[in-house]
Amino acid sequence: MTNRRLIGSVALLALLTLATAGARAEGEGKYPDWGGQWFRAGGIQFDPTKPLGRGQQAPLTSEYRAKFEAGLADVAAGGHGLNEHASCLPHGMPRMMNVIYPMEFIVQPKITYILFEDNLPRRIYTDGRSWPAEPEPSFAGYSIGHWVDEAGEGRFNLLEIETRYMKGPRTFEVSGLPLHEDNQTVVKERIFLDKAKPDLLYDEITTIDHALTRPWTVTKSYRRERNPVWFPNECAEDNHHVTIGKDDYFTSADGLLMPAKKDQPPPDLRYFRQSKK
Amino acid sequence: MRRRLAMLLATGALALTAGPTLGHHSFAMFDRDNQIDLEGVVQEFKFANPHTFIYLVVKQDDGSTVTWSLEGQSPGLLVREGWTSRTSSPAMSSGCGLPRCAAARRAAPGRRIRSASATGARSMCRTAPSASPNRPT
Repeated sequence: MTNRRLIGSVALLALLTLATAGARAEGEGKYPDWGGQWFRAGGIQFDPTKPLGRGQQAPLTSEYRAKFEAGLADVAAGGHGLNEHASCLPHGMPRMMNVIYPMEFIVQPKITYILFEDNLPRRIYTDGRSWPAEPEPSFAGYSIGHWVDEAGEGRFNLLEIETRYMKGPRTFEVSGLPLHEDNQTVVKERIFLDKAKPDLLYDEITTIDHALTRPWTVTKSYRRERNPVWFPNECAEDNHHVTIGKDDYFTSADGLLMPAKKDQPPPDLRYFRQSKK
Repeated sequence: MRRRLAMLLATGALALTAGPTLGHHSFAMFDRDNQIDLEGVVQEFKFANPHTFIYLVVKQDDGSTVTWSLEGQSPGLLVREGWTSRTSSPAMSSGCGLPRCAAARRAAPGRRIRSASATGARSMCRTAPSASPNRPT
């Protein structure tokens, strides 16, 4: 998986090199200056104005609230609950916009890339295309955006995005706040700079999902670092969290499997030759 | 590579906040309501994603040794605090508080590093444990 991501990153770099040679958009002409490195201004939770977990007061349906509570109980016992990222599964949308590690915008006239240190890139198509007939779902989904010049000053200030065709499992945040297993999620975003503070960026995110009783809107903010240091985060490099079936384990310094919960039995070893004592 | 880096002196200090054991990745297996002091020899400082590890060889009362896996912050956070893969003891000998991983939960030694400091670098864990909503892990 690491190699695939490396190849993907090299391919993306080559693509961007070619693209920028022909058409520069960042901060030029009609497009806003979103260059540099963006750190989240709040916490790691989905709604940065509220505490993690139950404190988010997410409008979950009763069915998905029960799933969430079961996940929290598993976490209390030492498991991962519904947080599949423990085994390095991608965050997916909209969780990736929690921006655990910083992100970067590459604005081009027909596409905007959002690059992350710990996630594959998002591609937001702004070339006027329609939704594809049957796109293969992905954790980040398929995003179509369009630029808006709200003040009519001949310069775009707002990028509106709609994202569909995601795959799961996905959660809103580390607590395990779930999205629906049917993966019919629609995420609508409005990204724009603060009018008075050009190093402050906002993302208004509205999530429409069958795990929710109503659309859920939160506003995230990000602060710009103009002299960035990038540090790629390859989750699979040395992950000690192991999921076998539905159970979570941990690997020790000597590489052996350890329990993650009190009195946890070992995994089913029926396909291994059993040693005789 | 197994090499003896230096002595790591571990000193417990803080009673950690009770609450859900939630981190960005997962620290659910750790009981962060308690912490213990450990003193031993750093076998390896692994500066790798998604989280760093210090492998600490601790001598037991009977003369035998046990290797502890001490999980720390991610390299991506530590590198912005002045740590690098070459940050290692003896600079690290200044202190380390470790939340107790309840023996009830874990059958083998494993701990989440509460804090560790090194000359020229800020604390390995800056503030509260990962239950804090304002702290990435």
